[in-house]
Amino acid sequence: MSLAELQHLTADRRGKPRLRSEERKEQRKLRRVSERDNKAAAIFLLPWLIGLVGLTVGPMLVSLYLAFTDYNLLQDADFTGFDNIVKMINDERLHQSLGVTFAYVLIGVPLQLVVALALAMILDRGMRGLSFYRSALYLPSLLGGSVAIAVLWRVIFGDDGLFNGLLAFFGVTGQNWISNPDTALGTIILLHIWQFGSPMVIFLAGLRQIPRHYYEAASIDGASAWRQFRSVTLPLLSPIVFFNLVLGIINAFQSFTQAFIVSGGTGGPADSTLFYTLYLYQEGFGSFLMGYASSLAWLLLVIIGAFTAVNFWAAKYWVFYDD
Amino acid sequence: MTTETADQPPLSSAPAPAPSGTAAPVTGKPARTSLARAGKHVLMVAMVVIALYPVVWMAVSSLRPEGRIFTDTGIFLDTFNPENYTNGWNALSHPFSTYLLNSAIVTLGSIIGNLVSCSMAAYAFARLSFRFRRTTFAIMLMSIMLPIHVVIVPQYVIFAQLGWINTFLPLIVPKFLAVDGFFVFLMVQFIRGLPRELDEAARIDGAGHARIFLQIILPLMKPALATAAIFTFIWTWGDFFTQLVFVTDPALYTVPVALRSFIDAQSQSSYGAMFAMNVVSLLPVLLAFAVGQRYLIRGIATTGMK
Amino acid sequence: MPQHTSPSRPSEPSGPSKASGPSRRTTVRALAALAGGTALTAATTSCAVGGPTGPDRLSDGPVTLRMTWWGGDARHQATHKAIALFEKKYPRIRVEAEFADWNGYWDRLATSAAGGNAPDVIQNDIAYLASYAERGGLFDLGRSEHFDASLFTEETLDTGRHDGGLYGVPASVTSMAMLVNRTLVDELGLRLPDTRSWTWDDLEKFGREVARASGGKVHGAIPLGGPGIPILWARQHRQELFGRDGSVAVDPDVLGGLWEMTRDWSDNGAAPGAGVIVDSQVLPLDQSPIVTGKVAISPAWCNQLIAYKAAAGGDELELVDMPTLPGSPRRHQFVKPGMYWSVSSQTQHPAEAALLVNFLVGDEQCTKILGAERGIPAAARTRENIAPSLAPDDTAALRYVERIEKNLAGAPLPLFPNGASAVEDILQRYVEEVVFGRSSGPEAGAGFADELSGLIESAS
Repeated sequence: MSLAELQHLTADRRGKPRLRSEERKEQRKLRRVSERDNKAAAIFLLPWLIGLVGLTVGPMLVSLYLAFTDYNLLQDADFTGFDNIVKMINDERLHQSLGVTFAYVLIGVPLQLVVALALAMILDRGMRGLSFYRSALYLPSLLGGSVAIAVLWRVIFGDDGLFNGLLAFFGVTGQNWISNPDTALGTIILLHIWQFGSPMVIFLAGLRQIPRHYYEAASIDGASAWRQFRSVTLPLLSPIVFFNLVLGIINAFQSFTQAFIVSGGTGGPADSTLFYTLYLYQEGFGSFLMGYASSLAWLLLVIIGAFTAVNFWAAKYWVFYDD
Repeated sequence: MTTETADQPPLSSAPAPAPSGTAAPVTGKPARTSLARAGKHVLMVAMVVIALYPVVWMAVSSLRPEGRIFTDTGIFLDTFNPENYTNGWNALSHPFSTYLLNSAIVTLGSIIGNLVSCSMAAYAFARLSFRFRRTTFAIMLMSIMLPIHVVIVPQYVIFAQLGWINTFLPLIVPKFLAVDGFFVFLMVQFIRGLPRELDEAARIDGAGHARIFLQIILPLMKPALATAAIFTFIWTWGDFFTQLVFVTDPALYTVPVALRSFIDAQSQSSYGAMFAMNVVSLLPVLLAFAVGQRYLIRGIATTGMK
Repeated sequence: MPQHTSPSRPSEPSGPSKASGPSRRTTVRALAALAGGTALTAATTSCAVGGPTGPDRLSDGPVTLRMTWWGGDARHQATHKAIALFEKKYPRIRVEAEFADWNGYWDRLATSAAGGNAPDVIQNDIAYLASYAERGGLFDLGRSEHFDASLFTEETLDTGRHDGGLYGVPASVTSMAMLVNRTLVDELGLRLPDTRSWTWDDLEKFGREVARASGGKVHGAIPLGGPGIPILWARQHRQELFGRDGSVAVDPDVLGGLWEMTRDWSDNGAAPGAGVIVDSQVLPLDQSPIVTGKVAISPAWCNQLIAYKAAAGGDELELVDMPTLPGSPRRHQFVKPGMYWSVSSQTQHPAEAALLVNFLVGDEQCTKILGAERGIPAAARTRENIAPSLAPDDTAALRYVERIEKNLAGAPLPLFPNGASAVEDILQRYVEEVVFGRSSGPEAGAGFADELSGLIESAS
């Protein structure tokens, strides 16, 4: 297959979403929802269904109910109508936490994905010491939410930290980046980017699925590295990019552990790292306002759901599936 | 479609003359290529330093005396204090091996559970056209959008009713029921990347879904399975909250719960011991990753499809 | 939605006035019903029942108690030994230990209590005692025939009472002190003012001297620290942080004054920069500024002397009095119950649980094993019992507490009201607002009072 063909193919899939969806409708009609598939699906989905009914739906519905109550974990939940929602409208800490979380999602997720993709692409092109690099680069993610992170991050961004040492080398006087409300969120975003291992590995696995001869065709046609990336890698990797983006956003909205550990659970200084779920946790487990925490949870679900829905909608225009 | 089975060169092979076109994408003069390659290595080394420095610092600190841990940001070791390791190993109510073993059981169970249940669900979502497919898929995604902190109490009630508190069952059984939407979605994306012609061909040969799934899809999605296994390992190994809440008997504590027991903000904590045990507990994960990532690559290289 | 009506039931005749038996049952059953997929109506038919507490008499057969605490590894080891001793003395009773770090501890306790599965014997804190008592989570040991109150004075027991019920047995007491790094002060060639009569101004002046002598590397002190300093500050202004009625009692301007003082000290060198101040509020003891050599003096709970010393390596640390306001008499100090032992209202074995509590606070051998790790024992007899075997630093802390106790005047410290469990975090946040110049003292003080009052109101 030549590059031109390939480009045509992917452009076709990407550029004309409407046509594509009509095509798909046709296909769907041909395939139909067969009884055979229904039965098979029931079997394949059986474990998931049991889990859904037994473990997931119940707690979800309970939390939805509690969202309209004053549940405090120990006493009866009294139905309070829309009190919690009214409270949300005037809750300044909630608004602060929304701001923090949106900044984190909008800056941290794309940056982490770019770093992860760039490194995955370098690693994919078989280089010497590949498995060493891969393991080394994954190490920060292995630390995950370990308490050691709290110490580590101060070793780097604290008053006498490495970062200030580096700045001093260039004659710049540093500061305590973690304890300054203007920069604390930045250090958490850096922590997020630093733990780029998971998306990197997923990208790697995805890159490995791209047949090599596509690149061969492209390089025979004399395509530049950038063009190869644009017309081969990106379209063929798009389901994986899409996955990482969707899950990255879902996870970033729920980000909790890192900020919890670095700020000692406070979301400080001065609420500058008050992530949404951290606030929710403080309300639910710190102040025992679990009813209110449940309404916060459902607001978050609506927000994440909206982002995800937009993502799925936009995917029609840029994600390329082979089916 | 060509039938070429362009195997990649072994990863550790010399970068020099790679067979037919699998070389680096930069198509230029050899000098430029090797320059680019050197540049790449420099970049990688820089990235590795950034990624590793803190981790190395932690490992070095675990060999320092308690009082110097927070005042020394360097990674050069001038004293050697292995007693953090012996102290840490025996500091809690059980030797640290107990916690490692507990974590291993939970982790292994979770991996098997996730691989079996998530791949089945993913096959259904990716390849079967059944009624309510979109709805169920949306519900699957929604289930991972609620923060754990509001569903933990209802879940606790369920597990308490089942008498499962203080066993590993609340940590393992859900994995066999595909509650981890992340992995279902991951596998769906990978299966959708596999050419449909393969299962169409098998179907024409009279294969049912069970056979297509077991004999065609599963072998082809090895990278996704390896990814899922690695992630399950790492995340389960590091998961704190559910393990803290559902398991209360110190004999059944897992590594993350044990590690936090070293730290008390109000009294003296054993940071040296905590770091030492943190290093110890990193070793299995690192090993798992080092082994697992090979499958991640080999899996696809051997299929040579498309 | 299930018709989840549960009008406030008449409090049980035998129960204490406010904290009637936990009415958690309906919710629990509703959850179980939902989870099991049974009809939602099941939730409504299950009527609320009283507390599940078993009878207050010793059982004839074997009993298993669950006991839980937070702490570091030193506490875990000592407590395990104490439990072994208890099991030897009462072979019929088995004790299952559950320990965790501070944060994890409260998360797990909240979840298990909500699930109707709380441990029987619970280590408790002044910030949570009223909250758990008021929500019906604790058993009134005052009604137990097996709890031995004779160890304690009425005043001491009062510190564990809420609305008339004895919900926490004071395991230990402690008091605010200033820790001085004597080694550092000597190295700098400075002389500490007379700490028996010093004021905040004296401390400030000394702090600036420290900064000058050390070339700005070391500072004097940060006049902050958990809820302890605000409480003391309020008392020195003849106020209380919390009133007896469970409200926020301190004048916002007074609190704001403390924070502005902190900011001013930070500006003039008596205290370190804002970054260190913020860190000092968050970081565990091992990384606090006095341990890392950033300040020469630091407020601390006196029983922490031994831990600070161990963390600070070879430096000589000593306990001195807290500064006062100019011209005010010295009697504003207070002792704070360091920890409590509570019994869950969900226990099936309140009698055995009471025995375990007695053992932990009074048994001769057991209290020797536990030593002063949880703080200075609250019971006089226990103190005498362990005094000879205490380490010198713990003896210093013990003497300090006893000296404060002799000079006490005014009411003992009220419990933190239900809803105010997070007071420490909230204080910290408003301090940060002030030291980073985002709010003035009075603004922050008012914000603090409003927010905390709102939380207390939401909780009741």
